[in-house]
Amino acid sequence: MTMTHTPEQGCWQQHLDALRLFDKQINSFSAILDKRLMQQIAQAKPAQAANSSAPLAGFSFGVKNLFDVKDQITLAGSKINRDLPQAAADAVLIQRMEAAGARLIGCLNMGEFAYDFTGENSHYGNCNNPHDLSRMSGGSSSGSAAAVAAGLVRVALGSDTNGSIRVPASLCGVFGLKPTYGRLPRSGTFPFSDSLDHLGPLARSASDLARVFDCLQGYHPGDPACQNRPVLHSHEQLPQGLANLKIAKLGGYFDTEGFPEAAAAMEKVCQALQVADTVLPKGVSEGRAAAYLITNVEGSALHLRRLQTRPQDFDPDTRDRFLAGAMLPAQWYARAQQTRLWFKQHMLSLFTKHDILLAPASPFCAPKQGEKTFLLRGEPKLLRPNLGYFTQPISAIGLPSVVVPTWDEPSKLPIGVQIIAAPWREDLCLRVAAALEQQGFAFIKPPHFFESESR
Amino acid sequence: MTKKFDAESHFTAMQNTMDLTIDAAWKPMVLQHLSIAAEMAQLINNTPLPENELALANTFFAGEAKRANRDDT
Repeated sequence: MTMTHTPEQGCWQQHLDALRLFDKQINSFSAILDKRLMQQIAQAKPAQAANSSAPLAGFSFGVKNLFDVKDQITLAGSKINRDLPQAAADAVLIQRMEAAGARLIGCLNMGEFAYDFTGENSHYGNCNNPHDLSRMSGGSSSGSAAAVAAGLVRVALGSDTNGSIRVPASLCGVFGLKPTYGRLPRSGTFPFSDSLDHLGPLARSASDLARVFDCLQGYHPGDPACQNRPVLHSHEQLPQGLANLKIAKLGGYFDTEGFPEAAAAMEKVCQALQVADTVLPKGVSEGRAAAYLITNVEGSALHLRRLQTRPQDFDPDTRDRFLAGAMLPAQWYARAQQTRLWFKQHMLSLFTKHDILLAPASPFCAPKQGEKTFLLRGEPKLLRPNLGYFTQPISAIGLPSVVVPTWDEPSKLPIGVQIIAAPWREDLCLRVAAALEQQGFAFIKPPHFFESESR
Repeated sequence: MTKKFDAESHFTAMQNTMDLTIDAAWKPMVLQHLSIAAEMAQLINNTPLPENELALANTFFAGEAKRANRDDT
């Protein structure tokens, strides 16, 4: 039987058909939700139609597949979660997106259980970078960043424990926001490390990022970490631009020596913002080490029963890290939590003199898929745990950070810069991101694969 | 942690304690990740934390900053 579509349903169906075609090359989607979308459009009241004045009317979005979507299994990038029942309800942030007029069109691939910076996944295949299909998309919100970069969705939701929004945003060349820890409720999402898990949006412009962020905010009792804070109207504040903002670059640990692509990105952004000050934060290596251990222990604790009973069903790259985490002494964990507080106190003191701090988002542009190691300060290091070298210290203490995309001229690949503010000041990060976009220093580009697809 | 960390002996002890069955082929990578964690533990062991204080309850909140939050008041 042929289904008859309304004009609005027909438009969306065409979009989904095109998406299916293009995503064959990228592998960003794990599920495309045709039926749900068509039902929602059919049931929508006139005020909810695409031309309504809802703040996100006409926005398409996808969610990392650790978000609960009613009647879907919350895979979290794993084979193991296929045994879970379908979700009974949508995650809180999906409900807020749809209440604001946005249309959920699919679930997006990710690194297994979010323990990943690469976008590689042995169960579902790698998520390819739309700007070079042979390269990593970054992770663990790989599908979220790649789908936004390829224009398959207007915005996406992801999660970020140590850099999992910011690293793929950097490698795929999109805007990404990791809000303050405790800002957005995580209710209805599959956890990784409760002390460090954040949710946030990825988008094709700073304006879209702000609009979505404004609709996502608000207290929810379902997440004990969620704080009851006044809602920011960050989109309204974008026209304020750089007015009265004191901006500095982070040095020391965040120095870009040995990373020419990150150095060029930082220089471009610092020139655009006329940044002369460099601040040298104390205790960053220790703060990052604390985040590393907290993540390793909490993630392993979450999965301990499965590590004991079915370790062979994990992705080998995550399994070996979880197994190590299951063996770490409890004293290391307690000391790591204390160190995190100590580091936070040092970092917060920097915001008495500056409103915004700048840092690289990734050490380099997207590596080739399959690469396992790189040189960090002259020493060979594993790629998977260290791609978040510049992001991990920032999320360790919950600071808000927006990644803006810049472009490396020799390779023509994207690389991001982090715009970091004090807790609860996402509005300032977004103002700077919008100013950089307006001045032409931060922007998205259409992916190369479109050219070959249309030939 | 002050003594040199021996990933191999730690692995042997903890594998049984935690009831983990680890395939021999996986062991080298698990040992490597244990060694990385030990390096991280060494770093945090050197932080000058106050003695006789844990303050773990404070570690879960994002905190405030004077200047940047001035508009909130």
